[in-house]
Amino acid sequence: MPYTLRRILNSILLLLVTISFVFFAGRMIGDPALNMLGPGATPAALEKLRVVAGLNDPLWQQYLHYIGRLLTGDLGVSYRFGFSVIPAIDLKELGQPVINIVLERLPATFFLAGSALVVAVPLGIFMGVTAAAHPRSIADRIVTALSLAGVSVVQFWLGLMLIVLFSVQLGWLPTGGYGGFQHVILPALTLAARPIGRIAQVTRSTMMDELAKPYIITAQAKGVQNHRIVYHHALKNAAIPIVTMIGDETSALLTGAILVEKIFAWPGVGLLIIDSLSRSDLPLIQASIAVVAALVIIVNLLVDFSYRYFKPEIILGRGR
Amino acid sequence: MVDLSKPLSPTDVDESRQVQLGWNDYMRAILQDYITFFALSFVLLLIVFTLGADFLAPHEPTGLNLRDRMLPPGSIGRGGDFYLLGTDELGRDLFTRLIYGARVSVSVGVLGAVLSAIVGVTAGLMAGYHGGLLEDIVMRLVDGMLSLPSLLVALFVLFILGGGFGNLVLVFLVLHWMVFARMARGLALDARNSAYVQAAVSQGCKSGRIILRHILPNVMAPILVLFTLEIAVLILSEASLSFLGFGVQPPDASWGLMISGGREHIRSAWWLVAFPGLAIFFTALSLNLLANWARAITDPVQRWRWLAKRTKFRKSK
Amino acid sequence: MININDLPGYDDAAPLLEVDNLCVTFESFEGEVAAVDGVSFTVNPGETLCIVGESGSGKSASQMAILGLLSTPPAMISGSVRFCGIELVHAPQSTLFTVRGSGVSMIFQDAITSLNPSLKVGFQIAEVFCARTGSDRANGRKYAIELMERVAIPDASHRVDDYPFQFSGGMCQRIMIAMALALNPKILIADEPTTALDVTVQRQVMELLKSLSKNADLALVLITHDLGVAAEQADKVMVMYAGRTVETGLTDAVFAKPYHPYTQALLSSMPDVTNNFNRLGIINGSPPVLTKLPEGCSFRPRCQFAAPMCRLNRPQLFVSGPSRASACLRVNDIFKKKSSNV
Repeated sequence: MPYTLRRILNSILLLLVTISFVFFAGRMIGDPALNMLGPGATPAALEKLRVVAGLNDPLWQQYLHYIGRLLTGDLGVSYRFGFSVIPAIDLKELGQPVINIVLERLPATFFLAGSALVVAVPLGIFMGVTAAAHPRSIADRIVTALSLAGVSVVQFWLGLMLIVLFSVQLGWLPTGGYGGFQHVILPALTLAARPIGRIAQVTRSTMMDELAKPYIITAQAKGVQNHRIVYHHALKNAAIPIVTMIGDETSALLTGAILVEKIFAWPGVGLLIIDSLSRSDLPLIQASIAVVAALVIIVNLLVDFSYRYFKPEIILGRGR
Repeated sequence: MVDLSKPLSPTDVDESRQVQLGWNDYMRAILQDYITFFALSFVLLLIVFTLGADFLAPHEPTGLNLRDRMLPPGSIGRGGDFYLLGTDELGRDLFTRLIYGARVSVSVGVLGAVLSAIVGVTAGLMAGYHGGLLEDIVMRLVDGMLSLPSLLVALFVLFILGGGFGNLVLVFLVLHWMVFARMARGLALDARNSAYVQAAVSQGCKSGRIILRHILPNVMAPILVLFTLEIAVLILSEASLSFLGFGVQPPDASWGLMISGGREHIRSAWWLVAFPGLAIFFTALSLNLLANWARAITDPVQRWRWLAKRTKFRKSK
Repeated sequence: MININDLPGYDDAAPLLEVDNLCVTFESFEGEVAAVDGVSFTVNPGETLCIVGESGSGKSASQMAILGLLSTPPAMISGSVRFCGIELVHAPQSTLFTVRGSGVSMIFQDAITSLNPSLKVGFQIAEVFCARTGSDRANGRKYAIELMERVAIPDASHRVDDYPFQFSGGMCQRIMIAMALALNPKILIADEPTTALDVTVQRQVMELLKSLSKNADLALVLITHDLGVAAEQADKVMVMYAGRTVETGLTDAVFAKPYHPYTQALLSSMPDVTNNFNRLGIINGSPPVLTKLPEGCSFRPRCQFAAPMCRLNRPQLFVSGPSRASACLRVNDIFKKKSSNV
């Protein structure tokens, strides 16, 4: 199907553009060698690095090399990972392939983001649907209030406050670190606050529009039960804006994880990004951005492709 | 039978509801709408404190006062000073710091939103009105940039450029103009086919003039709503970026920086983290509430319903 | 699933549908609006009743209230509606669910928007059937095809898997009818079923309804503002104005000799191509504003026969002839005089 192909090609192009932008920005602004080794590097180390990493070559040559290696899955190496001080030994032996570092941390972030989604999506949809099905009731007010609160709160602040309450004051949960339920629950809840708010908001307003449409009355007149009308008839039609927004929120989750991972010392890609920023590890930053951007783009693609299930008109065309 | 050769007298005209509502009715309606009233008051208060910080703040925002360090909210210091929200590790009054921090946080948000709005609306209106290649290019750019993870890109750019107020506003501009552009383009598409635009075209107006003086005033309402929401978004973004050290840099203080600074003392002085966060929360909340209210007001049906519920409906004879 | 026969109050001998002083009031900001103000009528098996009136006369609201389709916070319903003796006003949800579809069915005006755009047509037709009888999807699909053939949709066995947007307006209306017949109801209420359709398609749909009514002993309640449709299809007719019934009776009798000024005005305002293209009759004044109804008879401001007594009392519907009722206080003066030219 040409549509599918077009979308995929578009996405690949977008990814390429992003990676290229990051590449050029990194090499052109400031001193790339400094950005790769950090401000504490000696001039000798910097020189060695320039030779090893090919930083003295013309820019377009560097770019071509980079893209070439990209296609084989090699995003370069990091000279700083694992070292807080630049060692004085041979740099060439040190570099760890960045892609491995990033991929190693990915599962932790997936676990965190996944947990947040598992909580946020069903809860948010349920809240929105309930509010729309009982307008102006107490449930409606509560849902509206909670969703407004969810989108207005500062995520990492919420995390800190939860730590204060549950870890410091009550001592029920650990203050951070990687682990199972006990360790993931606070960060997951922190991450989930905003998506719950947004999902509930959008679900509620789309469902309210949908429930006012004529076919709902037809279904009622037929004798369909109310819960079926709401969840089976109306929700399917309201799905597209909701799913689009869930896709947006999932992408936002990946980036929101950056802050939450820092607060809770959760060893995922987010924490990796922060650490590499503070240690000036340019290759690692580039790779992390590339991977996260790729993930976000994939999520958007999936959302796009789900439309055909919800709105057959798009694929089958209008009328005969 | 009605003789149509004579003009209709008033008694023949339908007795439609003719209600005139003035400022008083709007004011009364706002007073009765507790939620909007709260949001409006908070925002006004914020503006007042931001502008008049020098006069209204109870203490000095900088300077050491180690005798009174780490006091919980509501305490009285050694010298008899009252610290409404407590003090930080250097003995500075938190409330005062919050007020001065508001200046930074709010102005970053507002400035960023204003610039994004100007660029975005211009691009969007022109793209939507002229269509063709311009629209294609702009919308592709918009869609592409919108699908990027904005926090990440912001972090990267700020890492390369360094932090600071100016760079922050620049990053906001670059990463948020698309939201306005997308909305403006949609509005321009609708406006393009409307009667008033076609009338202007037929009178020989040039497109630039049409966009600026005809279309723009008519589409201001939803743009203003979006603008309000974006200020909230930017304030939250600034908090995150400053917290990570890439936003506003010390010695400037912003709410986000205050949270990051207070983090080390979280076990002993929770208020250093709690109150800046609450400030951001209430600001964002009020802005969201105001945006919702503004959205309702601009829709004639909802406006009528909102007013009718809260005022005495005056009917003309 | 409960059967209709098992519902409390079920009475074989009771009339199929008996509406008694039904009132539907809405709370609006300007006060209470009586959209339906004391409407009563009866429907017997196999009959076709036509409810005629302008927009805002309360005809749709009264029928929606019968099936409990109006949401009761804004609407307040009083009076009595009995289907085979089962009381429907303020009945529990379970009763309403049972009666809907299998006792009383309703179809609506704009068929395309009244169908769920993202569900297959066959599914929508058989949905309640599967739910009530516990049939599986395959059986439901077969049954849907049968129903579609019954309403004369060509190529039913393939089109059963299509979506509403793939059908024309007339076809969609047939689908609605098929949907409504799925549980073999005893009454079908049709709310302006042909208003959104072309004239030729109108005819086809009306004939379909008529033949279904005959074959299946189905009672029809047709809501329309089109007098032509009423004249052709209905056994009985009920004219509504401003939420109240102003005249009822057998169609032929009422149309030949109306017993209410409003009915008469409606009839004379129809273009008559057999005549000499005289000036069209019009009804003076403007449609009633339901929040500010005139005292006494609500038609009075527009009535050419208005007299002082019309302002004093609000006329009730009273018997004015064999199987006829009228709400005009001056029936005898105006209409029953031997020499009245109507």
